This record gives sequence, structure tokens and C-alpha cells, in this order.
Amino acid sequence: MSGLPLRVLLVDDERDIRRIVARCLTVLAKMEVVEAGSCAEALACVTSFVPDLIVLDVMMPDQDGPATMAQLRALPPLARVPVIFLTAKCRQSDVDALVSLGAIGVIAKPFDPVALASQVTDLLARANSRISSTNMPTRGEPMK
Amino acid sequence: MTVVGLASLVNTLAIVVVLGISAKVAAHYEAPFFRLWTRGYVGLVVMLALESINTMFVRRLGFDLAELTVYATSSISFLEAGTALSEKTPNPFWRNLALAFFVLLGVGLRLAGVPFGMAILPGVLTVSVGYIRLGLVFLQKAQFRGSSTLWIAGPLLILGAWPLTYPLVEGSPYGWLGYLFASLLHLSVGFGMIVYVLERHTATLQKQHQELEQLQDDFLATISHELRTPVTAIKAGAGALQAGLLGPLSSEQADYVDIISRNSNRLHGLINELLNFAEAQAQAMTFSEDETDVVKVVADAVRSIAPFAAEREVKLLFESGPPLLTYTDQARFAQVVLNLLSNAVKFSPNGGEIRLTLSRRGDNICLEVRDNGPGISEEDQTRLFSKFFRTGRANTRQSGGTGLGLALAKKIVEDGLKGAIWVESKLEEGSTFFVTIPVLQAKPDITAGGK
Repeated sequence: MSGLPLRVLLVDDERDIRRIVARCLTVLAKMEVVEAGSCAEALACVTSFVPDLIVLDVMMPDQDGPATMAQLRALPPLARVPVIFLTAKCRQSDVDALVSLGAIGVIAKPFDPVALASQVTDLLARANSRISSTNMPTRGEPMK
Repeated sequence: MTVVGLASLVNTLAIVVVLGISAKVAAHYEAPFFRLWTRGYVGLVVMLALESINTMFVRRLGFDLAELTVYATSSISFLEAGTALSEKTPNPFWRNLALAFFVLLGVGLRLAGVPFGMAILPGVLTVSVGYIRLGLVFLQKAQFRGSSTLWIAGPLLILGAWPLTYPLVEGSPYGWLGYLFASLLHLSVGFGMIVYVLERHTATLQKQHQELEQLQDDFLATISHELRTPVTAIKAGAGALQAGLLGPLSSEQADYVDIISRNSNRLHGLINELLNFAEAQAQAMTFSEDETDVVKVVADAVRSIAPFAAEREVKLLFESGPPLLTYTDQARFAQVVLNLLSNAVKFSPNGGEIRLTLSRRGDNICLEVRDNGPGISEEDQTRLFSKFFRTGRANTRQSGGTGLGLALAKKIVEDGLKGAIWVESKLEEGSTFFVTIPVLQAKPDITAGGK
């Protein structure tokens, strides 16, 4: 990774978790993180900024993660932005369902803050390398 | 015995069989119109029986008690038919009044010289109403499919058949034909009804079961979210501090962050155990079949439990050999191994020893986890794998745990991995836990890319 820092849109209704994730990504992965607490906030954010990656919580009040993804992706500039889900529901069937929606990966909660940054970069790198070969999304790396 | 007599006997037997089973079914399953139908059926049969007795004995007795009973039963049935049709329970007062009215009406009609055939009209109506109602249910819901289609026409058929059958019987040389026809009708309609009620009952049960499962799934999802969210924040917060993301910590600070971290890990483990168990109870647990090297899984488990064992000065002995391959749910199997190992460490004395052995036994892979802990009494062994059970030791010693670990392990091994789990132990001599799982070959469709 070189040049400008990657810009991440982080959407999670839990402020505490958002702060920790943002810290991890900024400090360890040198990313630029914009936080949003809901789908509406996320939509407001992307009027002025186009993220390179979206990190989305799955279970949120009002619009959940998949719904938020659909709304964000409906915006032309965001149509191809990779999405990673953060979720406490990490049964294999749940993970498969999220990946089939078009996410590049799923990271399980609770997460290890140190590993989180490298998981995010790994998932991104894998997704980028796949784009050239195939469009098929594959499963991310769910943790325990 | 004449042919007619024999046919009549067969007919009576058919009625008895159908009525017997109907009464049994009506008593056990919630189906108001079926009860009505059964009662109406009983009413009519009683009526016919009494009419025969009547013709034989009434002149001798001089009092027509039989007919009075007939009117009473048929009137009750008639009233119930109305109730079932309107699907309302009438006010008891009106119900009693109506009942008295119908009884009096029947008796009055008969006293006024109305022939018996007319006076039993309320009874005939009762059964007819039941049939019509059933017929409507059949037609509207079209629930009769496949093998049951045969019975759809029955209820409607008997309506028309009734006046044809019984008059034919009396005094006719072809009476046996009438009886035969009647027997067939009784059997077909009766069993049609019974099959219908049972099918409907099964369908209701299935629906309830599905709803319950959905409810449990939703409940689990909510609980797991609500419990895991705060734990996530605590763990990640402590982790960020430990990793120095917020600057270096003094040794005392690091010590306290370590306390937070360890305990939140423990809490996380307990929550997972509870949720796993709840999932297993709700049958929400899914099992995959991955190519698994059992030796590697056990070695990984040993490695991950090693710090905990070292803390308690317990030695772990495992010689990993050549790969032992099978198709099983790797993650679940690892969960079971880890559970047995952490139990063994928990209950081993300081300086204790845990020996793990893997072997191939016929078509099974067998894992032994032997400790030299205090052992388990025979009484405790019988309840060891039941949920929330904890040995006496577990209560006196601060070993932690929910008492669900072994119950879950048993559920996973038996239901998901198609294997077996058991313990052999003697007090003061340690315990050995055994897990066997079958050696399976890859299913042909797995490599073809099913999941």
C-alpha cells in the first residue's frame, strides 16, 4: 500500500465499538476513517466523500447492515466500493449469506483490535487480486 | 343366519369400528365439527337401535321412553350443529332454552301423530349439517390430496345415499345389498373423517413447530447481539490498551488492563458456551463436512490450552503422528477437544499430567484424554453429560464454567459428528474421556461444489 491513505467509512450504531475500530484502523493500518452511527448518517457522509472501503455493522436499529449496504451501493460512485461486515452473528450460514450479498468479507465480533487492521487489509488485498481473475465473491476470514 | 342378517351384522360391526375410532380421535384432537359429527353419528345410530327396540317392546311397556331419548339426543346434536356452523358458543341460557324447545318439539310432533321418519328430522339434519360443513372445508381448503382424495365425495354421497339405503333394507330380498352399501359408506366416510382430522392435526403441529423454531432463532440472534456487543467493546478496548494503541502503560496499569482482558475473555467464553448450547437445543446448529486432519486439530487444541495448563503447572502429553484424515465438522470437533482438555486441566492437581492418545479403531478414530485428577464417582459419571450438572468438586473449587460444556460436547459428538463420547473413571485414580468419530470418505457431491 502506498500513496494516499485508504479512506474508510465505518458504520456502527455502537459508539464505543466505532471509536475502537476507528483507532485500530487509523493507528495500525494508517487508514483515514469517517464514522457514521446509522444508515442515514452514512448517506449524509458520502455526499462529500467517496470511501475506498466500507466497514458495516450488521445488526443496527432502523436500517441493518445489508440494507445500509444496498442503499450506499445504489449511489453510482459507491457501486463498486468493497464492503466488510462486522458481526456478532457468525454462524457459517450467516457469514455465507452476507458474502452472497456481495461483501468481500466478514469479521466476527468480538474482534482482536490488533488483528482487526491486518484482517481488513488482507481482505482488501484478496478482493483486489480477485477482481482481475473473477468477479465471484468468496468468503472472508471469520474468526472464532 | 340369513344373508341379510349377516350383512346387517357386518354393517353393525363397521359402525362400531368407525364410531370407536372416531370417539377416540374426537377425544384427543381439537376439532369441534368432528366432535359434532361423531355425536350426531352416535345419535342416529342410537335412534335406529332404539327404533328397533321400540317396535319390539313399546306395546308391551306402554310407554315410549326410547323415543324420548331419541328426541333428546337428536335435539342436542341439532343445537350443536348450529353452534358449530356459527362458530360461536351460545349463551348457556339460550342454549338450555333451545334444548328444551327441541326436546318438546320432538315429543310434541310424535304425540301429534307425526310419523317417526318425520320426527327424526332434527337428528338427520344434525349429521347433514356436519357433512355439509366438512364438505365445505374439503372444497375450500382442498386439503385432501393424494391418498386422501378418495374421501372427498364421501360426506356428500351419504347425504343422498341415506334415504336410498335403509328403506331398501326393510323387508326387501335385496336387503343385503343395502346393508353392504351402508357398510361401505360407514367405513369410507368414517375413515375419511378420521384421516382428515389427523392430517389437519399434523399440519397444525408442523406449523406450530416452525413458528417455535423461528421464535427461538430470533431470540438467540437478539440475545447473542445484546450480550456480545458490550463484551466486544470491553475486550477490544482492553486489547487496544494492551497493544499500546493509546501509548505505553505503566506496569501497574498493564496489570489492571490484563485483569479486564482476562475476565472479559472469560465472560466471552461463558456467553459463547451458553449460546452454543441454546443453539444446539434449538436445533439451530449446522454441521459441515470438511476434510479434517484429526491429529492437527488435537495438536492445535493442545497448543492453545498450553498457557492455561502452564499456569496450573499441568503437563500436557501428546505425540502427534502421521495425519489421520476424515470428513467431519472441524470447528465443532475442535470445540469438543478443547472442552475436554480445559476440563482436564481444571480438575488436575498442580503438577498433574494429561495424556492425549489418538488411535484408529476399526472404522473410527478414537481420542483419549486421560488425567490423573481426583476421578469421578460412579454416581456422578451417570449425570456427567447432562446439562447444568457439576460435580461436587466443581462447587467446592473455583473452577468456573456453566455446567454446559460436557452436555454440549455430547450433543455435538452424537448429533453432529455421528460419534460417541464417554468417560471411564475411578475415584483417586483419574479419569479418561473417550471420543470416537467415524472415518468418512468425501461425499461425491461435496467436491462437485454443493456448499
